[in-house]
Amino acid sequence: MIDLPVDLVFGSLLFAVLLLVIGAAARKHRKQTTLTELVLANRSLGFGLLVLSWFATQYSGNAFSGIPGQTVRDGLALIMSVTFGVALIAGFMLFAPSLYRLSRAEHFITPTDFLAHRFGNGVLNYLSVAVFVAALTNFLLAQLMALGVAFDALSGGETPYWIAVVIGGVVITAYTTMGGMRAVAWTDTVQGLLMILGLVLIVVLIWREVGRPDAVVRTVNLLHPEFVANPNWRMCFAWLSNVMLLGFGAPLYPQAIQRIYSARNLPALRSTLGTLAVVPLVVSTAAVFIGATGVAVFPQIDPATADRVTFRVLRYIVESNVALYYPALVVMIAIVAATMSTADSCLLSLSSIVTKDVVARRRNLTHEQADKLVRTLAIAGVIIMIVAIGLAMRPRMTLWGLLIVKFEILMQLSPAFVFGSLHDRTHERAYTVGDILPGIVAGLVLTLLLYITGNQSVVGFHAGTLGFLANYGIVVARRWSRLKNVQPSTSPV
Amino acid sequence: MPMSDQPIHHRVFIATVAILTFATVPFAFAGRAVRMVAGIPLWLWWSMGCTVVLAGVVTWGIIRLWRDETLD
Repeated sequence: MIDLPVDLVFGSLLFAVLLLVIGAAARKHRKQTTLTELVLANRSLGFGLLVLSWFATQYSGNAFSGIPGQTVRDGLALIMSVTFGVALIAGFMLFAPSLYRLSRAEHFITPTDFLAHRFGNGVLNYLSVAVFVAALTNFLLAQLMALGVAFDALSGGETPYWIAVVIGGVVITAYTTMGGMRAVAWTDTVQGLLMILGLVLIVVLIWREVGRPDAVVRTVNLLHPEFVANPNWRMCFAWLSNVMLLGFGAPLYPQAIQRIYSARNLPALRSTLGTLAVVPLVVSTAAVFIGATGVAVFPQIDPATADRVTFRVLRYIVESNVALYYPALVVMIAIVAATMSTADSCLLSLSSIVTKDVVARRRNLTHEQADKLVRTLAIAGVIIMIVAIGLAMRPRMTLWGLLIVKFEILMQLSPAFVFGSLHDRTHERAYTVGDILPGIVAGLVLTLLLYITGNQSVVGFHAGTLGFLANYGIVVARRWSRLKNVQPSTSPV
Repeated sequence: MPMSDQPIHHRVFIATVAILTFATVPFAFAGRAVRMVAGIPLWLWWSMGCTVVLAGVVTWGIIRLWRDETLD
């Protein structure tokens, strides 16, 4: 007899046990007990682990919940999410090569280590820590919410939201604290493979039970022609703003930067980024297809519950053809895996920032001393997860909303990484903290002011994008004005 | 620390990526009636086509323009 809620809970519990076993194995496999080992897997991740782990972390619950949900609200224009994924990798090219090189020479562990090395300014360090913590807490919160929503929707309300959030949070904390980055990378690899299988399966199931993409789009066009119509100017500006948000903001994910540090060698890192540049062509397109199917099958779907559209489509498929029950169950467990894979990376990254950039810097520890703060890392992880679970109990925003806010904050740090990577700090044309810091502060203040005054979007442009433009403008103008007043150096006679 | 060869030092590459990224936004279709090709709106084909080319250029840049004598 088929009982979806029971099978789903049973399957997910089995999966949770597997993750804990992997966490324990990773702990046994530790080469040393240092932050470098726990946070960066001793800089030993080869291409296979790096690409699958990065993929699983990057695509998270958004591939299964956020993008399909927003497609239900905005229509096919969400195909812009494919461009986001590619722009994100293009954004890495602005600073990743220098960052990787420096991280090897200077033993960086957190993104702030680069800023501290390059600019050596306490205010900039703490400002960046505040931005990273705000963005990562937001991201962790979004993943816990996605986990709760997934179980609640998939089980038809039989597994309450809060139970899924608490159990998921405890399991993630357990294996992340046990095995650190090695556990995260190994579990992400399993989760990434499961996500690929899940995405392939759901597309095949929809294709078979609902129709081909062109048939789905025709149905959407009949039911909601505005979802297929040419985007208007405002939507085009919002599209461009979103591409900028992702292209400049997403590469600054601390967990992504730490994956750059974790790469075993340059060929592994290069192959990983090259592969990730083409992945969105498949993954994000599939996510939009799922959302469009939701519109076609449930034309009256409530935008407020649109984040659950993937689960409703799956239930619809199972109800229309019982033979597809087990493939659908695999997809459901893949959705759970997708949210967990991002949450673990966020947790590890947050704990490392608190440990290295707050505790170690306050105590004025050397790199060698800070590397030994392993217990602090574990305690920070547990406290952070308790706070995140508490916040996730009262969700106030959609998953997409959380995604966008995070990038609006993160992208304000972009000039520090991009311009900071251009020159060595001793170079006469190098950007200084006097150029960078006022731009970042102005960008953050403008973004905040626009939010407070209710102008989250101006003619389609996000508050954060406008803050970002002001930020870059100020940084470039200050450097230009500084260099204009400097006499060109002359060689001694 | 001496800089190695990397994509950001190639202005043609950066300009191509910027132009292609801008081209993925279907500004040219705004304010016009939708036209369907093989059941899919033309603006969507356009955006996807530009994105595919962009992905190809970015991958090429990563593989061919990112070199480091000491780390390679």
